[in-house]
Order: sequence, then structure tokens, then C-alpha cells
Amino acid sequence: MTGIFAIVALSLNFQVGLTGLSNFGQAAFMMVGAYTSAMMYMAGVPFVFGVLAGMVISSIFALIIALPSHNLRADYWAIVSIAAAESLRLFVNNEKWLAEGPFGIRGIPRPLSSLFGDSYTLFYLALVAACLAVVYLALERLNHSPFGRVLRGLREAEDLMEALGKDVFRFKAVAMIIGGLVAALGGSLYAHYITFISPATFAPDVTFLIWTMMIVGGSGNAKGVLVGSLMITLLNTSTRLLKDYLYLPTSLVAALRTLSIGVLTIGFVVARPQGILPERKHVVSYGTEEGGS
Amino acid sequence: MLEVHDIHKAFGGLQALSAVSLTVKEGTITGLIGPNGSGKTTLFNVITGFYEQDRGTVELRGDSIGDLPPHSIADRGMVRSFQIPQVPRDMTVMENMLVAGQRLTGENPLAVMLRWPAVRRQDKQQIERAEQLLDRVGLLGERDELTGSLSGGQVKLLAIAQTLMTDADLLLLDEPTAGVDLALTDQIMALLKDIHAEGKTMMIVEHKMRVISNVCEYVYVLDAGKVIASGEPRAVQNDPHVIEAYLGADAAAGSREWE
Repeated sequence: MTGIFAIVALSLNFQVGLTGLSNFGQAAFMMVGAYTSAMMYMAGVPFVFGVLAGMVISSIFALIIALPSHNLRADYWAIVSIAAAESLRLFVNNEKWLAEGPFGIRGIPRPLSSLFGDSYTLFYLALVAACLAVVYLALERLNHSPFGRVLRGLREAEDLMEALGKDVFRFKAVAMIIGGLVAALGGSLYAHYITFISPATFAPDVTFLIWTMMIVGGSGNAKGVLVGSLMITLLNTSTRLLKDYLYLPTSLVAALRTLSIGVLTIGFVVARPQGILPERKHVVSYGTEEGGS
Repeated sequence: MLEVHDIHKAFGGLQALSAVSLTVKEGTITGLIGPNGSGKTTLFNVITGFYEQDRGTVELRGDSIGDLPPHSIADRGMVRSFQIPQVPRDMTVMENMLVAGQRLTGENPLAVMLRWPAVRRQDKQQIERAEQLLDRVGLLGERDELTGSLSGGQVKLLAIAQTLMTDADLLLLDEPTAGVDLALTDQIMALLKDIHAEGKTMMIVEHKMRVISNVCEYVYVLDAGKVIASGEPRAVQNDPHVIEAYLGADAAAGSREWE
């Protein structure tokens, strides 16, 4: 679970932490990936192709959301992103012919489950870890490339980038597409792990949970985002276990968990906005680029 | 090289520019002066595509560029700086230079994934070039500092170095010496002359008459959105209309010494 959320948090960090695109619709990209790969796998399409199809559809959705960023200020565009995500979710919630509406999809088969049997969890862990590693390395390379430099440049100086000949809209759209691809991958992995998805699975609070992971860990720093994902997921699961020891009613514990995540977010935004691991300076040297103090 | 013809631009009821025409000849440094609010920066914004003109044409080497977005105009070899320099504070001086490179393979994410060695090789060349330019403006020592920690004067120097990094041959500099002390102003003036000697064409917005008369070959004077005078710096400086626009009618009759 930590790995899956880390993948999505990394994709969000690419859009928000680096590029400064306040995307509040990340759960929708997960949803697109999850539904596409679940439905295609159940229709007999090989797992890998289903996941890829989810990524492609998600990137198209990302491009559509990126379009209004052309002439909207960042904060208004953030509203567009959450509205678009909710529209898509409510559409799935209110249809029946495509994906069973609010009942969701049950019994999503796990790929290769007959092959691994009892050690399946271990296999899936390895699969998620491998995906996470690939995503981490790919996004980090992009971050340190000339492409990533332009993204970081337009986070704070959009006009300057435009004046220096960068097609700002194109860069933003591509950043959205890359983030959408990765979030869809995370969504697919989620669907085949939990084996049940419904529109409620991808409600806006999931987006906010992912935002919390990024803010607590350190927006702009991929390692920090990994730490943040680990912390928040641990907090989420440990409080679930804690109720068995504290003899508190389940509903109260659930409320306290949500509360503690909210308090944590506010605390970090006020006291340490740069997160646990702040974004590091990119010292450029011949051949390689590495983080400095 | 640059032909601006009959530009009109209004913001609501305010006519910011009316019937502005001017020419920047290849190989010259052309000045643009005028009191605050006379429309100099607005004109820059229209020429470089940040604003759309209501009427009029802008031609670069005979091609109409009036309707192009800023990045396409920069791509055609005309690059501007900003009066209040835009600085991505979290990036180092070197990164600010590298980001000004043009048509880089590494700006394509697919190339970054698939052709990493080529991207790295090009980046290395860019780093070397950036170091030469930083050395030239005296910022090589600040190479790895965050731009957020630079002084106002250093930011101005970085902005000039950035425009050089783009390889553009026409530079529009918006007050390259604003808020800069006398010694650094001299340094920047020498730098501008130096760049000019290498064949770059420039248009600069300036307030300091000393800079104008020192580096510019030709000057346009803007007041209330209109060109009220143009000519060689010395002639323009003594034009009664210009003195009046800057200092008011009373002063026009008296002092002729002003900066």
C-alpha cells in the first residue's frame, strides 16, 4: 500500500512540487487507471496491456484538464482540476452500463495468482517495489534534465520562461500527462491488490491524503515524498491497529485518524512548509548533477 | 531589422500607446526613454508578444510577428529582459543560465528517457558556454548560489547573461541599470558596448541620460503613449519638448543639465 501511494505521491510531486501546477484531481487519474485495467483484465486482455491502456486514457484526461491552464491563473485552474475529477467520478457513480455505478467492480482478479499461490503478497510487493523504483528513477532523471529545469523555472517565473522561448503551455501539458500516466499506474496496482473498486474509493479525500504525503515529506524532493508516503500510510494503518489496544469505538478512532492527518498537514504548512526533507539545490557539474547542501 | 508601425494599445479607457512607430537598424543600440508611465514597457510587451496590439504591425527582418506568442518571437532571435527581473529563486545561477539555452534535445522528455547520453553531452557544452558568459559578467563565483540570494545588481547582470545565452541577435533590455549603483552602471555600460561590438543589435529602455548618451546611437522619446522626439542622443537631450516632458514646463526654460 505504501508503495502504491508513494507512486501516486511522486506523480503529484512532479506536477505540484516541480512545476507548480496545483492539481487537486489526482484521485481521478488513479480511478481511470484502476477501472481501465480492472475491466480490461476481466475481459481477457493481458494485465500489462490493461495497465498501459489505463495510462493512455489517463494521459488523454490529463491533456483535457491541462487545456484551460492556458488562460487561467494557477488558483483558478486548481478549481478546474478538482471539478473535472469530481465530474468524472460522479459520472461513473451514476452510470450502470459501463462499470456498475456506485456498486463498483468486485472480485478483480490478481494477475499470476495461480503461479505464486501463498507467496502472492510477496510477489505483489516485489512488483510494486519494482514499479516504484522505475517511476522514481525516471521522474528524477526528468527532474535533472533540461526538461525538468524548464518545469522548475516556470513554477516561479512563467513569463521569463516564455520570454526565453519556452512554450509554457506545452511544458505544462506534458507535465500533466506524465503525472497522469504515473498516477494511472498507481491506480491499476491498487485495483488488483485490493480487488474491489468503486467511485467512493477515489473520493477527493484520497487526493488530499496524497497531498498530505507530499507536503509532510517535502514538496519538490522525491526522497522526501517517499518518506512522507511511508509516514502517512503507517499512521493510517497503525491507528487501525491501535483501536484494539485502546478499547475505543471504531467510529471514534476513524474520526481521530482523519483529524490527526488534518492537524499534521496544518502543522507542517505553518511550521515547516518545506517538509521533512526540503527541496535540494541542484548543483550542476560536468557530466552529472547532484544535490548540494 | 525591427520595424514597429502605427501601434495602438489601450487598457480600458487608458490609451497607453497611440500611433507609435519606430525602427531599430541592424547593428545599432537604440534607446527608448520617457517619463514613468509613458508606455515604454507596454511597447516592449507589445513588440515581444506579451500584449496584443489593438492596431499596427511589428516586423522582424521583414516578417510580421505581431500575432505570434512570446516564445515563437524569442525563437526568431529577439529576446527581452524584464524591468523587474523575474528570477526563479530556488534555482542556482548556473541553472538559470542553462534554462536559457535554445532548441535543446533534453527539453523533450522522450529524448531524456531514450537518448540520455546525447542529452548529457549537449548539457556539458551548454555548461561550458554558460561558464564563459558568467565569467564575462563577473558572476562565475556565484555559479552555484541560489538566485534568491543574489543582490539586485547581480540579478541584473544575470538577466543580461541569460539573454546572451539564448544566442538571440536582437536584445530588448528593459532598464538594465535600474536600481544599480554608479560603479556597476559603468560596468554594465561597458558590457553593453562590448556585446554591441560583437554584432548584437539592441534596444534599451533607460532613465539615466548618462547611459543613453554613452551607448545609444539613436533615441526615441515616448511621452503619454506617443513618440514626441527622436534622433541622436545629444540632439534629443536638448529638445525643449523632451525637457518639458521630463521636468515640467518651468524647468524647460531654465536648466539644461539633468541626468
